[in-house]
Amino acid sequence: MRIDISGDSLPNFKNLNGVDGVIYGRYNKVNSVNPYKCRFVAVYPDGKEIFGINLFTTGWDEIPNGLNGLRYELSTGHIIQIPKYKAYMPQIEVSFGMDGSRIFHFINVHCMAEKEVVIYKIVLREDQLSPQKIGDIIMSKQALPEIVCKSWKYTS
Amino acid sequence: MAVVITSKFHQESEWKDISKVVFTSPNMVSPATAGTRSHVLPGQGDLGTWYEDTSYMYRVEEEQKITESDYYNFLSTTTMDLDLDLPSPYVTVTGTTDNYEIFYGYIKEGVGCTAIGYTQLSMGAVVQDIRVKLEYSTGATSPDEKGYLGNVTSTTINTPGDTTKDVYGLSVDFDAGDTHNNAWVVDVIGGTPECYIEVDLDKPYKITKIFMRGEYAYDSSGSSYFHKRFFGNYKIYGKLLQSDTWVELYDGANTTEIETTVFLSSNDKYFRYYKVVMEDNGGLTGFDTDYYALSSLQFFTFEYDNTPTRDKPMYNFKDNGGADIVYINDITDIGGSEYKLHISSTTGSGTLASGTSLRGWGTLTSRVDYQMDDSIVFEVTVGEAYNCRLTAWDDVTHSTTNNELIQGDHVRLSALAFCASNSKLEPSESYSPINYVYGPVHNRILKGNTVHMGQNYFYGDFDLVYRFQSGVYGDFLIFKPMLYGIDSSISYGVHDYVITLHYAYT
Repeated sequence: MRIDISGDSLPNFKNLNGVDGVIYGRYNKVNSVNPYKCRFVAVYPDGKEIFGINLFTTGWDEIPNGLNGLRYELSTGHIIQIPKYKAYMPQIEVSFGMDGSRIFHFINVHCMAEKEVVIYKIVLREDQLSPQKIGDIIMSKQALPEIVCKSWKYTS
Repeated sequence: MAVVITSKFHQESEWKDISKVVFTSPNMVSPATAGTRSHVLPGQGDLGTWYEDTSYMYRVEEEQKITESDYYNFLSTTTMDLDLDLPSPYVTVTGTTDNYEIFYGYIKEGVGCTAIGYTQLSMGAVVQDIRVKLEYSTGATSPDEKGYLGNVTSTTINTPGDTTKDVYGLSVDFDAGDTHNNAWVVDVIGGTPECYIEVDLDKPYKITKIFMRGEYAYDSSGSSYFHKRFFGNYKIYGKLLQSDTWVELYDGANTTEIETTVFLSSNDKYFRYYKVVMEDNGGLTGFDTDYYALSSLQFFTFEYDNTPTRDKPMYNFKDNGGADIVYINDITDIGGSEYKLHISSTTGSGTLASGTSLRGWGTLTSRVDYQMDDSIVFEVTVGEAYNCRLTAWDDVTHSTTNNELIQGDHVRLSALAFCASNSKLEPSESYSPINYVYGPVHNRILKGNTVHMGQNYFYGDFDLVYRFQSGVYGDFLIFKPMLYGIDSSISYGVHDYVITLHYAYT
């Protein structure tokens, strides 16, 4: 037995159902999406849709290039449609505690435009301290990457 | 790709699997059963860190120690400004003495220059002391050959004759008028034949060749009196520090020749102390085996060409662990303890002012000087983890720092992110483009995502990726959580907190 940082257990989640779960702390209470029930949907020009698995193992790196659209479906029913860009690279932002606890914070969808990268930060949890709610989107920008890794998936 | 990160815990020279890191009062007999940790109660011990297996708790220390070692072996100081955006072809450095003044050879080897020969050490200048085994020191009584050891009790070996001469240097004194060549000669003590000569050098050297010569002597008044002495079976050892254990470097045997040349492995490390252990005179033919004798002892190091084959990163670490990197592809000794580092490229921007410290992961020991005990190491075995950050929170919500230990700056951590060679869990130098993934921090206070006065109260952010280069492992993140300044002022009650690794993956 070891600290299973790559596992899919959620010992700190309570009342986890098909929609969401609760994490109780001493001073804060967090509502989180059910990470087992959140996924991406990659849409291709022929109408084919490839569904992601969940937030632990997304399956993103296995999908082909040439997609025509991208959306995220959260367990809470939120559907976040990402506009079309040259390429996408979503990243799941998570914190893992040495006691085995885990919090899913955001899906950071990196979208490659002509001169910059636009980031759609999809909020996955809400609490009593942060103003963001599940499903909110925080936009930001950053410079184009110097090295493009294989996780970037190009649109058609 | 979902990242896969494995973990290990290092204690008592072993890597162990653990399931949790917990913090509690050590008021129980160690080892305690997992899950029985308690709160701080009146009259009970201070808080400590424990690492928990499913059925066992590894006790760390009641009074936890901060780390003190650095994570690099070499330091140099620039003597000119360096523009990182448009770097000049070189930067001059000095102040390379903190690690034994072997900077030149370290850079030469680091940039992959080829050894093309040997450089003879000036033994008279570099040998600081010589010792022999005590029995052989006190056994010298007569004024003839055995009298050569008359001064050994004062730790110096003198050879006979009008001129005092140490047993080193390429002695070729075989003049016809001599009664013998200058030599250290000693009786072999029956029953305890092992004898040694220890040589202390002024600093560590990577000795790659050793020349030794026995005694060859005759009486100029007649041809009947003849000596031919050496030693038979022997071993050569080295160690870096006086407190280290001797490392066997060579196991040899002399037979019929009066001299021998030993070539040590190029993989051997830098050592400051060397020892020749004479085991017995077995195998010697044509020698007087009642004696051990040595007239010459000469050390050599590699001589390198001027054709580097790789770049070597030197780091300007910043307060929070980030670094500017200056990639070096050669070195020139310009005298006055100053060197010219030839630059191939740089990262970062702006100007490094003269006087900036450039640090490198050296080959002195080939191991990063990290205090691994009670540390946890993460290794990425699949995929990439982006924007990694180690920090601490009050509880499982990973959102508040409302905690007496966190607010009191008691929760701390020393950490380093690196890639390595040789062995997966031994932090050793690699010649991949980088050695340090993220620079070291010592005793860093953890407090959520707080940034105050330019100081991060966390460790990060950096990327950890799985490496698949030959002989390069990683990436690794090693960290040692600790509780600092815990005393009786801590209130009674529950003080749990959570150290977290915050990261992103695809």
